[in-house]
Amino acid sequence: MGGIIQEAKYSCALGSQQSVLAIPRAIPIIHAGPGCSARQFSYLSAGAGYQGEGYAGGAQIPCTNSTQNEVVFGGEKKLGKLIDATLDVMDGDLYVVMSGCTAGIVGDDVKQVAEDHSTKEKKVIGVDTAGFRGNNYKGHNLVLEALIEQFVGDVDEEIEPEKGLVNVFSVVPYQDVYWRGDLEEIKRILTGIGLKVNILFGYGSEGVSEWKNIPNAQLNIVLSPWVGLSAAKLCQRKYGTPFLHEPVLPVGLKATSAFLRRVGEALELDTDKVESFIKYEEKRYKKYFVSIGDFLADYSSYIPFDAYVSADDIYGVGISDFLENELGIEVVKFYDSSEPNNASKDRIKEKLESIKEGLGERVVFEGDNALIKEDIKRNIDERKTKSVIFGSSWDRELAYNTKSVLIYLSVPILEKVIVSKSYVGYNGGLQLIEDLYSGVLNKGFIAHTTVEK
Amino acid sequence: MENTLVAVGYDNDPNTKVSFREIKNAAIYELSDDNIQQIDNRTLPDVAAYPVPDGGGCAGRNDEYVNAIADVLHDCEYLLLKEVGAYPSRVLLRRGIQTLEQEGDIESLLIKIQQYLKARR
Repeated sequence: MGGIIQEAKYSCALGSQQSVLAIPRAIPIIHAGPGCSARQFSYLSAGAGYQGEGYAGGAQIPCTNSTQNEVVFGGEKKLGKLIDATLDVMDGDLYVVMSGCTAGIVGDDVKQVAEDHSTKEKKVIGVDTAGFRGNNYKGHNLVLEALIEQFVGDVDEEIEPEKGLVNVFSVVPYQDVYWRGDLEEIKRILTGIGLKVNILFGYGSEGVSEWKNIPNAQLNIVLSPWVGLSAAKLCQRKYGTPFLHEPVLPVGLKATSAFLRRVGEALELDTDKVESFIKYEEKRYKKYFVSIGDFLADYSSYIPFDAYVSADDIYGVGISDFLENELGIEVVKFYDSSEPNNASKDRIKEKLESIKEGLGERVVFEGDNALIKEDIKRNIDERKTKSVIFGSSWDRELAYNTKSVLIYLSVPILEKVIVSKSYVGYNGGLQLIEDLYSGVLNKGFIAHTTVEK
Repeated sequence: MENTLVAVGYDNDPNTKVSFREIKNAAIYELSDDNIQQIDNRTLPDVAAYPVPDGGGCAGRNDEYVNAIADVLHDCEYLLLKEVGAYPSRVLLRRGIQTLEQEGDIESLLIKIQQYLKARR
């Protein structure tokens, strides 16, 4: 990508410091200029519904604060001192040195410095996440690969996979504002069909012991169009672990049940057990779904029938599937803001086409949210249909001006406090229904009624 | 490359850089694309004349003292030292002088600065 964009919905590769923080008791050590790390935190944590510093985030993150001195003479020595000091005062299970642009341009070898300062008790790894290497989706991929290469490492003997153990490579922590709830739900449904799950990030993860256990998995599940795919391929090469690529994040009943059946087939699980869990979940889901029937009937004139999904492709494709195939809402356009490469773009188009004929043609790959908003406004004005916009705080004014429902799906989100919310799986689908139709009752959405007054 | 002046702070021996709190003199080097040449030697203000500010610390926390050094080094872009604190660095930077701290022999460090200046263009 070249040129300037407005209202970005992602950060640079160094933003993957948040991925490290999402691993319990893992500590990032940043080799970058002053302010780089703080801004990543500000954008991806505070800007993701005020998610807090956590165990070692925010102002606690050690950083070399590189200046011209490190540009002239190199910063490896200073980094070495910082690593030693960090190991002395910060209690962690894993330390990940990450470089920013300054170190990347100068050519400091963070991997080597990390290796030199790693001890038997305290493992330190290094990854080049210089901002010019790409956005934080790509940064997340780099972190995943570095963890597998340098922390999980090689295995000496031929592996006998543990039956029913799976690794999940999925959403990007913090960049996906609902990552905590999402990963909990993914783990819950997979556990429900009888699997043991290395979810790897978040409160449901056991931390570094899960990462060490990666080579023993029977299957890797990639729940994303392209993020995490390189890590799964790396595991296949290193450990011989096969992977199931699921480009669509399951949202709602249909997608979640279908996903679980595909996982069951891939692992040759006991069909009765899988179906029994699905049956229980679907029965519960349908009861809730039916309960909003009265509301839908009463407010049918105000229900949005057009949707504009402005999000990354991990969530955006899953949400589009749910809207089209479960709620009957037409996705007028899907604006993919995650900057996939060309091969991934083709895969995303293909997948969207399989969700709904013609949807593959309605995807726009665009990182500039100002341009996205212009296009949404133009479409709403032309179609004159009640709409729902899936976006971020950048889209708040647009939603208000077009009397559309706004569902928050991307950073930055500054009007909500996010804790355990999720739109993934059975529970996520219900949560999305709740939020979407609650939006109909927002001030100004229903004209000339007591609700508006 | 426009010629750049680099000051190297020292105590009594011009061949040994010292920490900021120990500097008494500065050797001034002129760096061009293909040449490094010492062009001057300047005596810096006497630290004893500047009291440590309230709250303690070293003289580097006395703005008046640091500014007096900046006056002497007004035409230099860099001040190379063995060690320097964040506070005097900030004061000097406001006067357009970037401090650089690095151990090693002066000649090879000046060569690195020369390489950096060439690359920066």
